[in-house]
Amino acid sequence: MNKTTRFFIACMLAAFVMPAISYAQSTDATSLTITPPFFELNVNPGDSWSSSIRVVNTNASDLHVNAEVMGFAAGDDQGHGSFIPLSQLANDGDALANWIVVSNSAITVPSGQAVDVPFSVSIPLSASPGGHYAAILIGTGAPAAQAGESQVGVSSYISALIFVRVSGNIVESAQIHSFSTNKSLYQTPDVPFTINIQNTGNVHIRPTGMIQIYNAFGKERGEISINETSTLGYVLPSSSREFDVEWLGQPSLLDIGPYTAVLSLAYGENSTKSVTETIGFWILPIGQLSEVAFFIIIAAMLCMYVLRRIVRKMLANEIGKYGDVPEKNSVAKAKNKKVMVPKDDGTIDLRHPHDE
Amino acid sequence: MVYRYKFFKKDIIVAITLGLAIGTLMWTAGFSDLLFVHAASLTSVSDTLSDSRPGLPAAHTIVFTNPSSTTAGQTITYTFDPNTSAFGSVTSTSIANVTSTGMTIVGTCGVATGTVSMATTSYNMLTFTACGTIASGTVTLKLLSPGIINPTSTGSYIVRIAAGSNNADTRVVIVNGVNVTAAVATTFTFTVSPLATSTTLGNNATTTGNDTSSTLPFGTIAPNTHNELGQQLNVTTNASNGFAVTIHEDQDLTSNKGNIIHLFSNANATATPSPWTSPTNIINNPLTYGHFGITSDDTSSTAVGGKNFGTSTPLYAGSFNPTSTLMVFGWNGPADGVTQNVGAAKVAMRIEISPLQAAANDYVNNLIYVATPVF
Repeated sequence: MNKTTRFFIACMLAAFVMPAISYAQSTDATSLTITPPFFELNVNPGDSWSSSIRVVNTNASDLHVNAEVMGFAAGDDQGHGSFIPLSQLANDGDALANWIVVSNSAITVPSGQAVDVPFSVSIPLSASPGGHYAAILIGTGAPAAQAGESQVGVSSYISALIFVRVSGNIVESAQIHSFSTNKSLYQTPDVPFTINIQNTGNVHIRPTGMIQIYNAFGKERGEISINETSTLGYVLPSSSREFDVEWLGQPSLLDIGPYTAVLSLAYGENSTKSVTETIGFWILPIGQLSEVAFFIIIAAMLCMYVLRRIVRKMLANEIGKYGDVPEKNSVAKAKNKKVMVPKDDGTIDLRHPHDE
Repeated sequence: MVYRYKFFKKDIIVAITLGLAIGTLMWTAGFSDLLFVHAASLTSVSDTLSDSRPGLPAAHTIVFTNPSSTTAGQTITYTFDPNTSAFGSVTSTSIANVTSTGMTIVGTCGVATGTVSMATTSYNMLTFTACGTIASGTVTLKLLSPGIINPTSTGSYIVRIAAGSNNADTRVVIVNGVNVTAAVATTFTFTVSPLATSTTLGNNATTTGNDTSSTLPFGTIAPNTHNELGQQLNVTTNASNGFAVTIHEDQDLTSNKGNIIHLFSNANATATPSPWTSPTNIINNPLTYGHFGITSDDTSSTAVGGKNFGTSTPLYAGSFNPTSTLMVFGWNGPADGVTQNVGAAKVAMRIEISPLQAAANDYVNNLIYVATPVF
C-alpha cells in the first residue's frame, strides 16, 4: 500500500467518522420545552385555581425533570426577575409561592412525548389585595458526582411565571420616572427615547400608549407605539421598567427646529388611568443648513449687487434731470483749501495759493 | 439723493435684521406657544376613563386643583380634544349624569357660594358658570354612565380645563386594552449542548477539552495553565418580550477535604467581566490559590441589562455564587434558537490554579442555568 492509497483510505475513514462525531455531539444536547411560560390570574381571597404546565421532550432519550416552586420578584428595570427560594419564604403567609402546590414534582417525560405537570393555587382568605408573584422551575437536577473526578455538574431549568391579582383594595398607581432622549440636538429625525415607568401601586400594571412627535408648528410628525404589540411588558409593584423606542422620521429641511414629544401611557385594569409627559429636542441638519446658508449668502450678495446697480442708474438719471449735488467729500475738501488775504483793496491778486 | 439712498439702505437692513430676530424667536419658542396666551396653570390635572377602548362610551373622572378661586360669573369649561373634536356625544351630557366635589352643580343659579350651574354644552365642551365664588382647591367632576363616546382611533387626546382665568391640559389615552385571565399561548424551549475541544467562541475564548450537556469534566488541572470547557445555549420562543438565561452555582468548587477553588477573580466574584488574570497566589491566602470564571459570546444582552463579555478578547465574570445570578444570554423579542445573539450563544467556564492550590481529584460543584421569559 503506497502513501497515496493510505492517505485516500484515511480520508474516507475520516469522512465516515466525522459525521458520527458530530451527531454524537448533537444527541448529547438536553432540550427542555414548556408551554405556557406565563400565567396571569385574577382571583378573590378564598379562590382555588388549577392548571398545568406541559413539558415536551424532543430529546432522543427519556427526560427526567423536577418541578420547583419559587418566589419571584423584579430583578431590574428590563423585565428580568429574580427567584426567591421557598426556604426564605417559610414564614411569609402572604407569599404566592406558599399557596402553590405542584402535585408531582419528579416527572419522567418519554422521548418524543409531552407530559402535563399539574399545579394548583389556593388563595387564603387572608391574602392581601394586589399583586403576588411566583415561578415554577422545571429542569434537570444535578448529575451524580463521579468518584475520584473533579467535575462541574450542570443542570438546566426553564421557568413559568405566575402573576396573581387578588381582589380587594387594589391600588393602581404609576408615574413616569423619566422620559428622555440621549441628546438634545439631532441632525436627522432619528431619535431614541428612553421611558422609565415606576409602579407606585400594589399590583402589576402593563402600561401601553404612544409617543406623539410634533414639529415647531404643532404638526404631528410621527407616532411610536409603546408596549402595544406585546402581551407582556409588565411593571411590578415597587419597581420600575424601562422601555426603549426609536423614532425614524422623514428628513426635510422644512421640518427643522424645535420638536416636542408627548408621551401618553394608559395603565390599570381596562387601561383606565393615564400619565403623560412632554419633552423637547431639536432637529438641525447642520451640514445641509450650512450649504443652504452659503447659497443664501451668495444670492443675497448678488441681489445687493443688482440693487446697487439699479440705484446708481436711478441716481444717474436723477442727476441728468436735476443737476449734480454736492459730492460726498466736497465740504471736507473745501476745509482743506488755504484761505489767502488779498494784498490790497482794489487790486487783482494773481498769486497761486502755494506761492505764499 | 445720496442721503436718501443711504436711508433707504439702512431701512432695509433694519427691517431684515428685525425680521430675522423675530422669526428666530418665534421658531425657537414654537409658534403654538406664542399664538396662545397662557394664564396661570391648574395643577394635579387628570382624567381617568372607565374604558379606554376606541369608540366605546366611557365615564370620566376629571380632577384638577385651582390655585385661585373662581368668582361668580366666571366659567369652568372642559373641552374634549380641542384640536379635532374626536369625542362623541358630549352634548348629551346633562345634569342628571354629572356629579362633582369641590363645587356643587345646581340646576338654577342661586347665590350660594361654591355652586355652579351647567350652562351650556357644545359638540366638544362642557361649560359650568360659577353662581358664587368657588374656592381654590381640588375640584372633581364625574361624568357618569353612559359618559362620552371615546374617539374611534387609538391615540392620546387633550382634555383642556379652564377655571376662571386659569387653565391646563391633560391627556387621555385610547388604546386597544385587553385584560385576560388566561395562560398566554407561548412556548419556550431551552437547549444546552456540549462544545468540543478547540471550539472558539465569538469573543475568541477557546475550549481546551470536551464536555457533555450535564457535566464539565475538568479532570486533572495543572498549575499555571487554564482549563476551559464550553456549552452551546439555544432558546426558541415566541414570547414577544424575549428571555434571559442566568447561571449560578450551588457552591464553590470544593473537595472532600474542604479545599476550595474560588470564584474569579481571587474569590472577589467579579461582577463586571474583565480580562482573565492568573490567581495571585499569595502565600497563606487560600482565596488567591485558584479561581473559576465564566464568559459568553452573546453580545445582544448588553442592551437588555446583560454583561459585556467582550467581542475580540474574552472577558470573565465570577458573580454567579448561590445568592446571585449572572445573565449569560438574553434577547428582547422572539427567538429562533439558531441566530447568534438572538437564539444562540456559547458560554465557556475557565479554571486556573496556582502551585499552592491543594491537590485533589474531587473538586465538585453544580452550575444551574435558568431560562426565564422577560415579563
